[in-house]
Amino acid sequence: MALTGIASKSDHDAFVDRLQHIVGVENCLSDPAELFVYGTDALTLDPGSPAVVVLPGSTEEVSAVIKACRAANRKFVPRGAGTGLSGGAQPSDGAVIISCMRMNSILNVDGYNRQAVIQPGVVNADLSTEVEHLGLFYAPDPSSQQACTVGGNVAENSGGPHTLKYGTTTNHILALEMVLPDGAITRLGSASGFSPGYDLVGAVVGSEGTLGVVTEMTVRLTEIPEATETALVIFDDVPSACRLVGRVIRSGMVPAALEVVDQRTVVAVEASVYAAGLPVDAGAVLIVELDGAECELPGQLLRIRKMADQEGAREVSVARSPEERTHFWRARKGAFGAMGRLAPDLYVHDAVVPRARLPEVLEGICEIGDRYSLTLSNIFHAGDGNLHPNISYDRRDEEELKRVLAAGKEMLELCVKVGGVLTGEHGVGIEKRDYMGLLFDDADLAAMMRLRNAFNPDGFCNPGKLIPTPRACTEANPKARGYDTVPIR
Amino acid sequence: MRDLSEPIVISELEALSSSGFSRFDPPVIAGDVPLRFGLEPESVDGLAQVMQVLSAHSEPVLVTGAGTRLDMIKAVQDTQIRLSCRAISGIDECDAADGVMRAHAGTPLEDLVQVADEAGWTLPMEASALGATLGGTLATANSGPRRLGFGAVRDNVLGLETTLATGERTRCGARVVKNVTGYDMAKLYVGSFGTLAIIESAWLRLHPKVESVECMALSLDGGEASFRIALEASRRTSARAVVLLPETLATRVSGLGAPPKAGACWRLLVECAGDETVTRYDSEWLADQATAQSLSSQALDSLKALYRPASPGGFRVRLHLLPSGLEEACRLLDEAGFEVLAYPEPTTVYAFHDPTASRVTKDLPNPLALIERVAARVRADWVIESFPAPCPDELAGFNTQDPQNLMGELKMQFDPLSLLNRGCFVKSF
Repeated sequence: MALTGIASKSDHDAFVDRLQHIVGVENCLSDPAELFVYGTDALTLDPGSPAVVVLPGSTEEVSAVIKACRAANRKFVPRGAGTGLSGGAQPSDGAVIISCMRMNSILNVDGYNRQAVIQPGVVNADLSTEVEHLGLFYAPDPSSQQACTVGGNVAENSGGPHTLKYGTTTNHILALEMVLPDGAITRLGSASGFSPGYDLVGAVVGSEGTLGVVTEMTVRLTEIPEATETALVIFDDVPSACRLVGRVIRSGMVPAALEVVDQRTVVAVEASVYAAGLPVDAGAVLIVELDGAECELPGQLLRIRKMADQEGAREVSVARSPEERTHFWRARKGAFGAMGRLAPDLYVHDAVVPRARLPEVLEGICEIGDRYSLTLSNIFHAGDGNLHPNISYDRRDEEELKRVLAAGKEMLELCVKVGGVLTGEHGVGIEKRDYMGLLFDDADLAAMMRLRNAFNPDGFCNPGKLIPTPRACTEANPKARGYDTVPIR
Repeated sequence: MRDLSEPIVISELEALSSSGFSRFDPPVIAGDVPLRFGLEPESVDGLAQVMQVLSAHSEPVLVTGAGTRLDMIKAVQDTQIRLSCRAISGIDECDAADGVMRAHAGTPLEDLVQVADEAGWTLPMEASALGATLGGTLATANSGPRRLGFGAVRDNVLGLETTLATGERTRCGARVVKNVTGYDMAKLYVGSFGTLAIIESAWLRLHPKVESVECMALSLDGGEASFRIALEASRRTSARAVVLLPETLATRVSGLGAPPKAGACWRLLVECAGDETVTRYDSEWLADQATAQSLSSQALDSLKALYRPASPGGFRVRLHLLPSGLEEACRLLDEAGFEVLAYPEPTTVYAFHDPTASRVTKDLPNPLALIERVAARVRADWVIESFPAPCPDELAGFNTQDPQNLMGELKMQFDPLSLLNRGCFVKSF
C-alpha cells in the first residue's frame, strides 16, 4: 500500500498510535480487513485503499485528528454512512478516513422555533422520527434515508422525492460547526437563518467534504402537513406521463412529489419483495403526492384526474389509507433494491434536464442503453427533471463495465446538450469530476477553485474530488482508462 | 485620496468605445464619497473589457445597478469610478413550459414581473424601489415581506454569469431547477454586494401563479397573544407575507387605510395566496383571531415607502432572530423609541431611527449602541440597511459570528486587488 507522506512503517505505526491516542484504540481501524469496506462509498467502480479509518466522538477529536494528519502530511476524507453514489467519500490511496458515524446525537430540539441541533452522524430518517411527536419532520428525504446521515446529506446537498416542494438540503440548513482543513474549529451561519456577510453556509452545503469536516448542524424542521393524498397514475408510455407532469407544473399546483418509474422498473419491482401490485404491462407509473391543508386537496386531486384523462392515463388510483400510501411508495423506494435481481451491480446515474425536455431525453437515453446492449431502467423525479437512468451490470465483466461507463458519458452529453446538468443530487465526486468540462470552461472551474482555496488551500481535505485536475485527468479519467473507446455493439 | 491616473485610464477606456459604453456623472453616494466618473457598459463584452483596463491600472470601482440602494453602502474607499450595469439589460428567455427565466443584470425587476406574469408565472422577488434592477437585487439579496412565500432571493437563483475583477467571465449553475454540479457559487455571489464578482445575468426560478390572493389587516393589542397570533398566521398553509407594525407607523403608510379597530396598538397584515379554498379557509381563521378587514392585493406594496433611505442623521437596522425572541425584540426597541416593523417568520425586525420624526430623543448619544444591546439580548444578527450620513468611520455595518478570516480569504481569492466595491460590506477587507 502506498502511504503518501509516510517515510517508513515505523512512522506509520507512530501515526496510528497518535490517532489511537486521540480517538481511542477501538475507534481507530487499521487492519486491512476492516479497511476494505471503506475503500468505496456506494459507487463501487474503482475502490481506493485508505491507510487508517478513525471514528472521532467529538468536534475536538476531529480537530485533533486533522492536526495529526497535517503533522504527518496525510490527506483525509470525511465520511458519513458511505451511501453516496458519486464516490465523494472514496479515499485516495493512503488517505485517512474520518468517519462521523459515532457523532450521532440529536443535541437539541426546539419545537417552537422549529429547528434542531444535531451531530453529523444522525441518520436522516431518525431525525424525522425523533421530532414527529411535535408535529414536525426533516424534509429532505433521499432514497437512502433509512441509512444515510444528515452530515452526508450536507456534503452532497441531497434531495429526494419531495424536493419538488420542500427543496434540497441547502434549504434546511441554518448553521454549521465545522473543522477547517487546518484543524481550526469554526461556526458558520446563524440559527435565525441569516448571517451577515458572505453566505458561507450556502457555499459549504454541497461542497462534498472538500472544504472541511462538518461536526454540528442546526437544521430547519418543517410542519407535518395537515393532509396528504397519494395517487398512482398508470400510463401506456413514458412520454404521456411526462406530459402530465408538465401540465401539473404549469397548473399552479405544487405537488409534494411527482415521481415516474418506467416499465422495466415496474417489472423488476413486481418480481421482488417490494411488489406493489402494479400492472407489469404499464409503460410508466406516475406517483403524485399532494399535501397541505385538508380543504385544498380534493380540488387538486380532481384537477389532476382530469388532466390525467386528457393525457390518456389508463388508470388513476388514490391511496385510501396511510398503509396504502406506503404500499404505493414501495414501488418507488424499493426499486433500487429490486434491481439487485437483475444483475450483481447497479450504476445509478443522476442528471437533470429542463422538465419540458424529459420525453425526448428519456427516449435518447433508452436508445443509448440499447445501443450499448445494457440493461437499463429509469426512475426519475419528474417534477424536478431529475433523471436516474439505472444500469444493471456485472463489474466482474470488464468489457461490460466499459460499456456502462461509455453509455453513462453519452447520457450526460445528451442531458447537457439540451440545457441540463451532470448531477441533481448525487454530487460530482470522482464519478463525474472529469466530465465537468462538459458544462464548465476553465474560467468557471478556476472560480470554483478560488472558493476551495479559501477553505482548503493545500488540498489536504478530500483531495481529488469535484474539480478536475490535470493529474486527475490522466490518472483517474475514465477516458484515460480507455472506457470511452469501446466499440458500440 | 490618491490621484486617479485619469489620462491613461480614461483614454484607454475611450479606445474601447467600439465595444460600447457611455459616460455619466455619478451622483454622490452615502458617506459623502465623491465619485468623479461614471461608466455604463452597454454589453457584457464591454463590461469585461472595461474591467480588464481597470484591473490593469489597479483602479477600483463602485459597481451598481440602478443605484436605488446606495444607502446600504457605508462608503467606498479610494474609489472614483462608478460602474453602472444598468444598460446590460434584457430578458433572453422566459420558458413558460419550464417556469424559468434568463435575464441580464440591468433589467428592471418590474419588467421581469410583467414578462413572467404574461407567461403565466410569478417572479418570486420584490423590488426595493421602482427601477431596482435584477443585478442589484441579487447583489444585495434584497427581499421583501413576501420572502415567507417566495423564499430567500438565493433560493430562486438557478445560475449566474459573472465578470470577475480581472474582466474574466465565468458562469455557474444552469437553467434547471435542481443542480449540484460543482460548488454552489451562486450562493456565494448572491448577497455579496458585488465584492466578489459582477453579476451579468441570471437564470431564475419562477413560481406558479396562484389562483387566489387574499389580503387582510388585523388589529392587535400588543400583548403576548398578539405575537402568538402573528406567528401562527405566518405558519398558515397559504400565508405568503405577514407583517406586524405599530399603528403609529401603519397610519403613516398610505394604502393601508384605517385600522380595523380603533385604539389598537398593532396592525397585522397578512397576504394569503394559493387555491381559493385554502386562502378562504385561512382568511376565516384570521378573522376569528381579531378584528379584521380585507385589503386590496396591492396593500403590502405600499410598505415600500418605509424603505427609503433614512433621513439625515437617521438609519435603519434589520435584525434577524428566532421567532421566540420576536415579542421581546419588538418591545425593547419600541420602549427605546425606535419605530419597528416585523416579519414574524423568518423572523426579521426593522428598527427605524429618524431624528426628525421618531420618538428617539435627538440627543441620544448612540442609538446604534441601543440596537446592539437589544440584539445581544435577543441573540439577533443585525445589519445596517440604511446608513446614517455622515457615517462615522468606526461604524461597522453588521455583527456576525461568521469567521471574518474566511470572508477575507474569499475576497482575496476572487478580487486580490480589491477593485470591486472596495471597503463596502465587510469593513475589514
